[in-house]
Amino acid sequence: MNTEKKKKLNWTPYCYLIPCMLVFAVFLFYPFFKTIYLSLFLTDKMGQAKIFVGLENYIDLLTSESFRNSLKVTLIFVVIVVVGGMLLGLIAAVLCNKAFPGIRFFSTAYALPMAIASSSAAMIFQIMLHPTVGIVNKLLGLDINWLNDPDTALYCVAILTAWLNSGINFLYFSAGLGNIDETIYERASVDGASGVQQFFSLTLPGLSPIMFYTLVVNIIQAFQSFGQIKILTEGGPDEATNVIVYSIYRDAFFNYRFGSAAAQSVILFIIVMIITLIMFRIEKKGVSY
Amino acid sequence: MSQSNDMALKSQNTISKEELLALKKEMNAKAFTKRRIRTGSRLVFNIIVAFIMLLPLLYAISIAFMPSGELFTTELNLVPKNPTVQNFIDAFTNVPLIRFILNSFIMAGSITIGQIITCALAAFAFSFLEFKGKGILFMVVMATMMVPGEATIISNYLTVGNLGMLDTYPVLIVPYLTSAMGIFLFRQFYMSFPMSLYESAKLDGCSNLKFIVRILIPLTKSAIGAMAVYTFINAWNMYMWPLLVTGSNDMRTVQIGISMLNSVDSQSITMMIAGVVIVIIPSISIFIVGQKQLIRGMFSGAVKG
Amino acid sequence: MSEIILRNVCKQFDKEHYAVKDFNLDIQDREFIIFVGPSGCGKSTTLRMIAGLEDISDGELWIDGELCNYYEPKDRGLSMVFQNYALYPNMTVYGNLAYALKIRKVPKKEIDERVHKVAKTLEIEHLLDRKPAALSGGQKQRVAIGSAIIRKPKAFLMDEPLSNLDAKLRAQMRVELAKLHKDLATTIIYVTHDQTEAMTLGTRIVVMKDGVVQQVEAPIQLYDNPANLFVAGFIGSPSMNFFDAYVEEEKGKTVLYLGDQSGSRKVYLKGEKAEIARARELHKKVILGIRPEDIYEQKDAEERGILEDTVGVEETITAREMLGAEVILYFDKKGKSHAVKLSPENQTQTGEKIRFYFDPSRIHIFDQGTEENIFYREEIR
Repeated sequence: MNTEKKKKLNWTPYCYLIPCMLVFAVFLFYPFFKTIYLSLFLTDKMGQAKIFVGLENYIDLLTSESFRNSLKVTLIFVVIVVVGGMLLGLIAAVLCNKAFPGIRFFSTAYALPMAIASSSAAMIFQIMLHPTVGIVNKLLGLDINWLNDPDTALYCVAILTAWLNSGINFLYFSAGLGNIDETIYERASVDGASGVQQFFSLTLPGLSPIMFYTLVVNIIQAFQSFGQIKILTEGGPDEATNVIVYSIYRDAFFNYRFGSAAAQSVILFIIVMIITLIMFRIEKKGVSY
Repeated sequence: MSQSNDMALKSQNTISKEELLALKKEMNAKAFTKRRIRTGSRLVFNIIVAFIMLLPLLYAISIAFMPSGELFTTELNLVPKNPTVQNFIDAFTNVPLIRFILNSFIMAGSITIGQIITCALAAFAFSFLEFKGKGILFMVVMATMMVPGEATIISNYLTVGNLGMLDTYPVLIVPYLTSAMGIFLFRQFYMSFPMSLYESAKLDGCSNLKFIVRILIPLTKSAIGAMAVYTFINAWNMYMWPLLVTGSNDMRTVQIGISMLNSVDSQSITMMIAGVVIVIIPSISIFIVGQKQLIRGMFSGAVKG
Repeated sequence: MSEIILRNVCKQFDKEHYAVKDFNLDIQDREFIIFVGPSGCGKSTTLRMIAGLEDISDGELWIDGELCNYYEPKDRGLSMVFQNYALYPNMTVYGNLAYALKIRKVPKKEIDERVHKVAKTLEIEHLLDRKPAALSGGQKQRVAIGSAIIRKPKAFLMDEPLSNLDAKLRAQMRVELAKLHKDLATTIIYVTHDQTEAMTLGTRIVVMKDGVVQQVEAPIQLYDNPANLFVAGFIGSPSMNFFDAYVEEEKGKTVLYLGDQSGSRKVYLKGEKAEIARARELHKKVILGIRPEDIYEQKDAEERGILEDTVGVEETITAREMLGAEVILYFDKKGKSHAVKLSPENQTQTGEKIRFYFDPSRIHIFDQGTEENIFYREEIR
């Protein structure tokens, strides 16, 4: 009786995990380790590991000018995307914080970018930034080939990505603002704090838990941006927008250097992991509630 | 009553009744305009910001209705002078857009349904059942959120390539049939129910599956709604994976399909944008319809969690 | 010195709906004023209008002779304690206490001194480094009060400050609030729905219902001399018993027939009460009100010499509550439950019958139509 019961308790729960674990195993755990494995090899065009080279792929990467440029570009890109995307989301959330006529329309408008695909957005931006017919040049009265100029291309792609991410950030910040106790503002106004003082001493600190979470999500997401770069610049001009993810794509699917691409994937994973861990460490110390 | 009148008069000795009345009138008017200005400026700020945020979309819609000749001028042409639907017709005839849309619907729909099922089952086990290694398994699932998709995409591509699965529906769908975030979201919801809910159902002779279908799913409609909207939109907008694994027009999804319009000569910019507008419509409509659900189910929970 | 005067203050939500209507009150320096009433009676709204958190739709608010209707909350010189304490979650206790001073650019050294002084008064010195989330309900309460008193305001506004505490803490804080009021010697306006708090703390109580002030009086007058049926029923626990009655004349005496006009159960009124009742309500149906402690059993009635004035009312007891110092017996009459407070020696059990005697001098009579207490007299202050 007892053993029978134990057996039953032991096995049924796992059945419910089988579907998800199976998918994770085949498409996440296995490829994850396979990527690490591949990164230690030279491969043929079919992606078969051929010659074991140890850490050579990594060493080659870290010493190559192109990859270091990739890292630098990625870093700038991520910073612009995260700061820009969060700032846009925050501004929108603060604007929609109090009830006013039309709030529903505006909150939908601010959240809308999250429903738009990076590829669609990229194509729209491509026309907006078009040197002759684009609205940006027309409005500003400039004649800049935004996407073909190494000085501007990265910023354009980053701003586009920030815009795409601002929608979901708006929702996060709105939820965060909604969670701040309304009465502390009332107390603050009796205490004598002005609106600006209230914003900096109550609203921003009150958002800090969600701010942190949003920051982590944004950073991870920014590292993975691909579609807009593929469509708008293909890593160019002159590798100015060759972020790591695009570089992985190019190495694997154009140059068929799967080993090197795998090594870049591993480095990408390590960077993301380190940043995440550091963030959590900081959170434990700083943003306490 | 009379004594309170006296009291009030005492402190009013510096001000006459008429003056008071006039003051009140003036101040009320001032307060009224102040409130007006406050709401008004909020509205103005919102209109400005919303306009900037929506500018790309508005611009796209405007271009989509513009005859291609009209676009190529040096003057500022914000709205089409002779609106036309020709661009849309061209987009449909130049590439098999309907096929792409159908593919995307099949892919995004299957992924959505699949994720809801697998995530609900797993979350049920993680929140109501006791088993060995539960804590570790859950940690492992959560840790997968940290792995960027690009870190596995090469191996996944090689795997499905070796299996001869390229350019099929399953290859688009199966890798995305579960998600750590979905499991987490459902678990958050399930944890808010008392264990006694499950125990009393068990006592009434309810099997686990019956419990999920009859009790859990109806109770977590808002989470399912949020999850469905979010998953569908993300699947609809997926780009890199479909780009890698689809090769023929029969299998391409909309996001890959419309970028084909991009490669055609620049004379057809307006047609391309019309295509973009067409493929944005489904995801935006689903978002607008499901926005309330999404916020209630996902974001209010995310903040507390 | 602070004097707060409200003249015909109204809060109007739309054309027809008033949250508060014609609120008149003059609050003198150092008073402990209580706004009490059922939820939705407008007491909190009134307090928030005084604080400046709600606009005053009509009427005037004078603070120390200044018309304050249009002052911003911060310019009114008041401080407020909120029901949920409204502590700033991101600041320590020290930060919470210091915030209002910091905003007013008080020198750092003075802030420090005042924070420590207030913390000492409220015995929260050891908590200064903690965040609100790490405090218990009672501690949060103290911090909230501390951050209100640190500014030395003209008056304190308190919106149900004790309602989130458990019963024991509430009783304790009540005592401390009373002491604090004495020490600070400042006006306090205090909103509560709890009549025990109202009775124990207030120097004067404002009873409100549906946005209208029912009565303003010191606690004991309010208890003994309620202006109308609502106040009589609201103040006191268990609440006053109400019976239908008829005012009649019997051999020159004024008599109340209970329940019906048969005269099988009656109470003779005496003195002034008899005259007023006869003058105003003779042969009319009225509502008789009597508090549970003004009803006696035969033995006690005899002792008090009221046996002759009442033809005893015999009732069947439906419930018995032994409270130690007293026993409360309940009986039902026409679907209404009535309570009697007797000495604990009384051994009547549920289901048994007992005869009750009313103390005629403690009877209130309410007009059937206006629900006013016909014996009510406005206190002359």
